[in-house]
Amino acid sequence: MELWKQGAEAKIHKTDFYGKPCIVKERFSKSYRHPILDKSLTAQRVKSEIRAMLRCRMSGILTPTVYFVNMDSSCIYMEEMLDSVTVRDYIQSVQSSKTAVEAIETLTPLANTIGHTLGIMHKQNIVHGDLTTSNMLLQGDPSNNRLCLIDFGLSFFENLSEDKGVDLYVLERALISTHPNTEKLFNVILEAYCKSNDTGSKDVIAKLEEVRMRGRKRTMVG
Amino acid sequence: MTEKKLKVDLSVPFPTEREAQIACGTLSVDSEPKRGGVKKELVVKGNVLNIHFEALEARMMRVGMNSFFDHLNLVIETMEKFGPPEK
Amino acid sequence: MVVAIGFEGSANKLGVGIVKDGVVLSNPRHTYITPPGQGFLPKNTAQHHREHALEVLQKALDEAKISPKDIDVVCYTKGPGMGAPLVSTAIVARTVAQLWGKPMIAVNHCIGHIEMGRLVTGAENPIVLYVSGGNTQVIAYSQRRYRIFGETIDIAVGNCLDRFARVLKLSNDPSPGYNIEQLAKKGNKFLELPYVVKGMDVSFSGLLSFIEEKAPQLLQKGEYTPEDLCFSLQETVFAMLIEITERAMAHCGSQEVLIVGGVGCNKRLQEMMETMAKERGAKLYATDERFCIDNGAMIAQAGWEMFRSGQTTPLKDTTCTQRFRTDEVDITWRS
Repeated sequence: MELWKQGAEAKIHKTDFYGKPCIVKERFSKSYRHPILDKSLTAQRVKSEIRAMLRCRMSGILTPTVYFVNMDSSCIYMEEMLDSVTVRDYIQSVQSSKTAVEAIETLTPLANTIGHTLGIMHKQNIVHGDLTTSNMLLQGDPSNNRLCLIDFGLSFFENLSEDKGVDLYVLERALISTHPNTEKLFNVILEAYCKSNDTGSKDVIAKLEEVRMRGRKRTMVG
Repeated sequence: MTEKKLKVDLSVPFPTEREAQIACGTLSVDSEPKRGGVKKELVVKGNVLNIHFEALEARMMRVGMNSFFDHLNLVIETMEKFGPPEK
Repeated sequence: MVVAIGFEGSANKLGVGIVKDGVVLSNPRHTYITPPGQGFLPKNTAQHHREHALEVLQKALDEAKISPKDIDVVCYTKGPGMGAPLVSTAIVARTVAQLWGKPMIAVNHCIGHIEMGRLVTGAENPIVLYVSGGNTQVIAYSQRRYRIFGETIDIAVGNCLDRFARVLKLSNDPSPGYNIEQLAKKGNKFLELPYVVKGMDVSFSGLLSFIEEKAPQLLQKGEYTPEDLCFSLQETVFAMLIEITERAMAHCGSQEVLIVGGVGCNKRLQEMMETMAKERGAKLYATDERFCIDNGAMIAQAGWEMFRSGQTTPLKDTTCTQRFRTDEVDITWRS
């Protein structure tokens, strides 16, 4: 197996699985944390990740197909998303090649797709837990907006609006801190989200607002 | 109709006009808390700093003035230790 | 040559520091210490600052061996922090600035920590973990702002530790966090606690209620010692902090990490961060209690940068504010 990438908590190897291009996501142990905590977090995250990927696919959201799981070595064997770029790289390339106004215009359909997809995901009570533009891929020509969600290690199932609100808050912060001047795109994401998560979005948006205020209103002593 | 407001006028003399102005400069910056319902105005006449307080309740007036005296005292002590003002 | 004096009083430390072109000439501090089991209240903290501001200021001038006329700019903490203590400290700064005829600079407390950390360690463009009694943020610089990539969505890590110290009735001298750190060294039985990480954000309130509720029984039954609980608490909350810092480093492709803020002088936190950094081939920058804990020099240093980039704050605008986010400040001195 060839090591392809190393993220914060997993090594990604490339291989093939009975002839299909496959990547292996190996969660490695973190020597900075206590062994009991480390074991429990690693096992929990492998399980969360495969469960959420399966649930997403069942509701029509594109995620890599899981081929095989080895709990002993904390490895998930999954489909390699060929010909894909991260949303992060795509936004950066659009922002660097166009004027600010043009960039927002170009990226609006993508924001729509992101909002729509997250709406479906939350409607199924799947909370991603780590929504960033690095954890979203675009397959094929990026302008086709074929969006694939990845990195579900922090995900869980929950019907609470609070958790869904925090999920969106995490995305908002990641989007704006990574890509300055994208506040408008987040609004587009929210609009599309409300359309596809038709039943619960009102409460989620109210919670999002509450979590935002918590951040801003907190007195920060020391 | 008579206004139901409490008013207090305070005059604080300083050694020189410059020092009265410095105290005024320091103490005018912070606005009173909005909810407290206390208003204060600071004016310098000669070497005297005049402060006019207005409040709706005696309790509020006491809180506002207590805090003002704490701050005024700090300004005076600072001047005594680190003054007089540079020319 | 620019000499800056900084006044800090946003929480329970009153500090005055003097910095001359990147050299700290003096940095005395006086801490308001409350009895065990008690936190510091704004009113009493403000009174502490008023009582000690002038002696600390005199000490700063004496130790730096300079006279007021050598000073070029008077810097003070505008916020964030507790209102009354901030104002009491600002009043001294405003008064001396006028007495000495010097311009003023309003400084964001968090920016003070970051700039001091960069000065002391020489880190150029690090991911910053800012951890204290009131703040928990993961910060990176881009396009003239210190951008907040992750932060607590409820209480700060230092607040979580302080409040647990109150449950155990630990001394607040020199600080509750320091005493937790000492006890934790003697603990070894690990209690699993709620571990809540959301992307690059963390949450401590669930963990705190859990341990606050469980601690009395666990101690009474003799299943865990106070040392074990301090150990488990530190291991858990620090692991959460390292995880979000590492995620931010991976996200930004950064090879430098800087820890600032009062909790940042915890040796166990530094050790865990060092382990993480080494595994990534990155470098850890940390400072000791002189500069991690709130101090005047950090305000002077941030003010020095601001002053050199052409800023000053007119007297009428030298207000204080309890809420003042790190990412609100235009960083005019970095490219």
